[in-house]
Amino acid sequence: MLTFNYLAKGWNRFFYQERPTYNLAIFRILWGALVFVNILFELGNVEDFYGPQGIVSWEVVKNHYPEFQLSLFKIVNNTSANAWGIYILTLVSLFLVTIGWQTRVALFGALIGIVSLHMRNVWILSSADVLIRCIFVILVWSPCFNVLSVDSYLARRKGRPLPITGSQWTWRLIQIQVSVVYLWTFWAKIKGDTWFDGSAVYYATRLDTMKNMTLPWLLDNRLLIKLSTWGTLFIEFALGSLVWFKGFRTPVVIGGILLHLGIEVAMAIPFFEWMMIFLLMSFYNPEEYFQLYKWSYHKMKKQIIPLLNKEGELL
Amino acid sequence: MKSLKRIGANVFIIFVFMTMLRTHLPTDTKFFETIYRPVDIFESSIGTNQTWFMFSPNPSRMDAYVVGEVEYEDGTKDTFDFHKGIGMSMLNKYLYGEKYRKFSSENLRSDNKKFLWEDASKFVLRKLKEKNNYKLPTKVTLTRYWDVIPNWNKRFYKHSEFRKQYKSFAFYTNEVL
Repeated sequence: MLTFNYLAKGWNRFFYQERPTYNLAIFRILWGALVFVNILFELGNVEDFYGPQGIVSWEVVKNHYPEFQLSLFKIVNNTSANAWGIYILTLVSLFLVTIGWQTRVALFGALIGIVSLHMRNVWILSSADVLIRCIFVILVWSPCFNVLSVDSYLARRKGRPLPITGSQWTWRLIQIQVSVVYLWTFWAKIKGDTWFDGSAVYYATRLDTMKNMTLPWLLDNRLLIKLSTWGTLFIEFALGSLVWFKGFRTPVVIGGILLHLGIEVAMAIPFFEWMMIFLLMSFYNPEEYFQLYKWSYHKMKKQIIPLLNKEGELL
Repeated sequence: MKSLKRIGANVFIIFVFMTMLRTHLPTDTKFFETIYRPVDIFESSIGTNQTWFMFSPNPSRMDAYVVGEVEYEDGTKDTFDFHKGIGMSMLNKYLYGEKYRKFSSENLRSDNKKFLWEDASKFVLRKLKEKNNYKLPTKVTLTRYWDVIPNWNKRFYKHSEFRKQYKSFAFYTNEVL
């Protein structure tokens, strides 16, 4: 019978086991770099999206969202200089997050900057932008800079090295967040008739405004379209559930990566697919990352960055 | 100190779970309304409302875009199509195309988003002023173009095919002079 103690022990083991933080550090670098590029790509449109002469005026935003928001635009005037200031603050913060310098402050700076820009014009946002905020809300509390960062290098030089291990609750929350995305989207889709009759992928890929490359060998064949539709449903369900079981994890993650690459090629949903692929990597634990590193280190005849000592342990 | 951190982390974990469940729980009861008040404040302040409904319950079958047209005093006209995305390169979609598509196809065209129309018409004026600096504008019109993808059993479009017959309706006019 399940007792409170048993459940509490399970909860603690799941969320608070001390483990190396390499997985979080690798995720910080990948995520920081991807979001940095995402924001950098807006460089030519800062005025149009966020400026006082932008596509939506500040008056409309203020009237529509009078409640409190963690947005710098709520405390400064929406001038051109301020819009650029917030944009540059966000970019610099994201760069610092990626290299891991003053990381905790940079994580908060990035979160506030991103929320400020997003809340300035919510009518241009997509799921990728929501995902960025959801992940940053978790990442700001993580020990993602204890290794593979400028902070950890400087701390080592000062003779006060940061602990390599840390509690993994933020990493677990990121994993749960990824599963929740897939489970909710699966739940919402099974209520639709086109996902059942196999035509959903046909309609999604026929939206002229969202087309990327054309794939006639796959998307002009009714049978393959049906298999793609049902395959999408199955993979999304598996990524929310089976991925938690070690035996299923790698095939399910590979299925997920193929699904996202397929969408990336056929449809224009910028950044979202890469974000999901990076997030899927969070299902591998630090020990597995270490094994992968060790394997590639020896396979590539020690040509990659040496992080191992003579005994084969991490430096 | 460690136990305080642990308590804080537990509270945060439960809070994040609540944000994940928010969209899918009944909210019309007093009980949920009370429990979810702090979650709602948090979600609206950071924008972490978790509605992962892309392509569900069914993918949209309507393709739409908006074109803004400016008439000048000399009788000439010019248009701005909010980078409608059809035929746009992948790089441009990454740079700005998807954001403009989201704005015009999913928001600006909608009758529920009338509050965006005036700003958008002024934006069109500004965008076209760069090309028509010496002309005096008299009228801006926003027109939505749309087409519904027919049932695939009635008409099967090849993936490389673009539909040509878009319906149109001028939904907003701003007399500048």
